[in-house]
Order: sequence, then structure tokens, then C-alpha cells
Amino acid sequence: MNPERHSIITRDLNLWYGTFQALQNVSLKVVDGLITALIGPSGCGKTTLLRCFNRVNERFGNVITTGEIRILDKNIYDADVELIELRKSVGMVFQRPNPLPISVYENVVFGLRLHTARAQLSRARLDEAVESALSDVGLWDDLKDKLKRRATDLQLEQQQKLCIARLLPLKPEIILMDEPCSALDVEATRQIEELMLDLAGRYTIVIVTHNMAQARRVSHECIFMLMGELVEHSRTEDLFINPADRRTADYIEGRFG
Amino acid sequence: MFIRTHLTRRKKRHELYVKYVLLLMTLLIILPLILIVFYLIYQAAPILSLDFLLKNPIRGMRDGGIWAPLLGTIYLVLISLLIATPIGVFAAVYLNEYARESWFTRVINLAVVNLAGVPSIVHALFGLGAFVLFAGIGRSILAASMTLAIMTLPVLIASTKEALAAVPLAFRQACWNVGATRWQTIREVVLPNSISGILTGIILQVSRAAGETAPIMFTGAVFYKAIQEGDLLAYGLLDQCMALSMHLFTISTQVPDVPAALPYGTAVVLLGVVLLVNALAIVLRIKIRSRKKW
Repeated sequence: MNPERHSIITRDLNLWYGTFQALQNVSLKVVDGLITALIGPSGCGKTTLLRCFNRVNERFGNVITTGEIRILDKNIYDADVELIELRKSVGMVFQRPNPLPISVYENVVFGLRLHTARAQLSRARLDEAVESALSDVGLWDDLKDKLKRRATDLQLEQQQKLCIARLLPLKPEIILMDEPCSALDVEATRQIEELMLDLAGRYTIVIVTHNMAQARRVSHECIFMLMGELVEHSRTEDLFINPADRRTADYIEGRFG
Repeated sequence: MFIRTHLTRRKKRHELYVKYVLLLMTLLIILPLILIVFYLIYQAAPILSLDFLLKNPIRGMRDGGIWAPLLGTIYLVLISLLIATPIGVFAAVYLNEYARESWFTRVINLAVVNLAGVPSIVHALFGLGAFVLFAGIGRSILAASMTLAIMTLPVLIASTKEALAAVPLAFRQACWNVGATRWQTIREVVLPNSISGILTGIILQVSRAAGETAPIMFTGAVFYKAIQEGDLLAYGLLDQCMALSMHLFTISTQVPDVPAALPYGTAVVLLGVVLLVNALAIVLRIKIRSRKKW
């Protein structure tokens, strides 16, 4: 972790869905190895912003983006950027766990199989990747005897951890999480939050959350957004205790949103 | 408090009327189907036997079996599906997975929908003009199958698109976000999870292709043609053939003094083929669906 290093830098980022402007002049720097939370009321553009970081927005059609996004010091709109490689490095976890309807084992190695020539995929290498990824997310002990089970039959929190584990064999730098706990109960949420704190340092994590308490518990830095604009970005303690902007204060005190 | 009033009584009465009217309509659908099937089987009973299936018609089609038309129908159906399936499925994959919303895809989608509504006799004329005459294939099994394929394509594309669209977006997102290409997404996730729907769509086209008379009448089916009994390869691609639907039409309207059981027997076999294939589709659907849970 190096506080001088920034994994994600945007400059004057604007984004339109058709004629609706979802992001306005967003400029930010996400510090390497920390957990950064994006908070704000529904429709403020936090999920849109998150999706910019691996350019998955473009799959939804009719999206126009201007400005600059640098991931690991590379402008991801450069002509020589290969989206497939970008998305390997910038993984994403969703609101509802989305394991594929195949076995636990195959879910974990899914990315590896996509990105590695078949000849280099020895059984041993795959086994090792599965054990290491599942260990990293704390699922190995629970699932080591159930690797052949369908991932969609697991409990919801196990599914969500599996979705995180699925990213790890590709050795991502950044993990984007879009409200990863909103479908989970309290205990499962606690586990995922612990896992995030565990993974921080090794990975840069950006999490979108509706739950301000969660942002407070889990993030090192916090970004407050409103109507597509970045209002405030500071250390989480500062943002919650001493918000610099009136609108931030109103939001965290629950006067709107 | 909480007591029935004349208003609630009226609402309840309406509720009851509606329920029974709807039930009545549902029974009205099933009843004719059951009546048709039983009436056909009753009328055809004296003639139904294995020999009826395996012998050619004889004595000016007033006696004998339906081997030649039965085999002809099987040929037409299989070959038309062999032609239509790859085209239809790949077109649907393109439209559903690759094509972006634009005037071009809107025109294609509109064309697909409208083609599905074109009467079969028009397809017949198109087949005659395009395949038999212009392409010079001549009246043959191949030309008739191609005509049937054109006829089944729009519905095949529509049903395949529907099956593909039923695959949850979450699965696709899971793929995109580990950097899968579109084709990898389709191959690894979309197709395996929509195959039952796609197959059902294909199989249901069998019954349409088997039942149509008009499209094959001008393009390859003939009144009468005797073939080697028991030989599954009796027809060549460029031969003309008999077909069950056409045969039924012929012996019911064009040939005098046909024993009554003969057309009924033919109808039962045609219906049997269709129902058998539909049952297959249902079994396949249940079987594959029981494996997937999302």
C-alpha cells in the first residue's frame, strides 16, 4: 500500500445515457490498496461511475463518455486498451450474487479457462487456483468437500463470497463492488465486510453502498455524490464527523435521500 | 365492522361468474381436441395396423398402406429442419447477442415478425419461383424442403430469440466482468442455459412442417409415387415424393370410392407423428429444466 499511488484517476468525466447526463465533471483519485466507498441517494450516479472503471457501461448501448479515466496509470480509453484485459484487472461484484449455474469449482476457474490456452491448464494448476481463491475468501473449509456442487445451490452469502473468489485467479488489481450486501442478512453482511477488510491492501476496493453505516464501518475513504456530481471526497472519519459541504452534512444526517 | 354488505356480495358474485366463464372457455378448447382424436381413431380403427404403415398405397390409392407418403413426410421434415435450424439459430444469436438497437435491426425484426404471418400458399409460390424454376432445382424433395424451411424460419428465429433472452442478464454480467468475449459468453453460458428452449422451438416446427400441404404441393410433392417398401433410403434428394398431408387431401377429395377408413387412418398417423414429436419436446423440456435451477 502506497498512499502516494493512485489506482484510479478520473479527470472531468462526463457520461450521458442518450440525452440524460448521469455524470458531471467527476474528477477523483482512488488511493491504491484502500477501500473507497461511494455513497449518495438513488440515481446520483454512483453505480454508473463504478461501471465506468471497467468500461462495462458500454455494453448497455447509447452511452457517451467524455473525459479521462486512468486505471493503474493507463488511460483506459486509449486505442490500444484491450477491454478483455482491462476487465481481467478490474473485477466486479454485484448486488445479487451471480454465480454461474455450474459447479463451485468451475465457477472459480471460469476466468482462468477463458484467458489461458488449454495446454497450460493442468489439473494441478486449476486445483491450486481453486484452493487459493476459496481460502482467500474464507470458503475453503466449508466447501472443500463440495466443490462439485452447483454454485447456485449454495447459501446466498457463500454465493457472494464465491463471486469474489471467482475474480481472484485472474489476479485483479481493483475489485468493484456494487452494493454487495444489499441482498444479504446481517450476519452475512458482517462476513462480507470482514472479507473486504481482509482483502484491502492486496486489492484496491471501490464499493457502492446505500448503507451509510456500512460505508463508515468498512471504508477508508468515502466519496459523496449527488445528481451526477462528486460533492465530497475525504477520509471516511472526516466525511462523517466533519463534512466540508452542506449537502454532505444534510445527507449523512438523513435530511434527504 | 368487517360485515358483508350488498356491495361485497355483488363483487363476490361477479368473481364467481368470471371464474366459471373462464373455466367454460378453457373446457371449450380441450373438448374439440378430445372429440377429434377419438372420432378419428374410432373411424380409422379397422385399418390401423403395422402393414398400413409399411405398405405402399395400391389399387389407385383405394387400398394398401401409406408407406410412401409417410417416408416422404419424414424426409421433408428432417431436411427442412436441417436447412432451417442452423440459419435460424445463428440468426437469432446474432439478433439477440450482437446486434445493437438500430434501424437495421428494427427492420430485420419487423421482417421476421411479418414473415411469420405470410400465408403458406404464398411461400409455396415463392418456392416454386425461386427454387424450382429460378434456381433450376426442379420439383423435388430438396426444393420442397427449402420452401418449408423458409416457412419455418421466422418462427424458429422468434422462438430461439425468446429462449436466449430468457437467460438472466446476471449470467452475462458475470462473464463480461471476468473479461469474456461475446462469443465466449454465448458458448459457455448463454447456449448451455437456453438449449432446452431452443430445442423445443425447433421440435415444434416439426409439426408445422409435417402438416402443411400448400408449400409442398407446387414444389415437390406428387399424387402418387410407389417406392421400395421397407427401404428407408428409398427417396433421393432430387426425387419427387408423396407426403401425408398431400395424400390425405388427395384421397379425401380427388379419388372416388375410397374406403372411409383410409383417409381417417392417414389422418391418425399424421396426427400421431405430430403428437409424438410434441410429446418428445415436452419430455426434453422437463428433462433439461430439471437440471437447471436459477
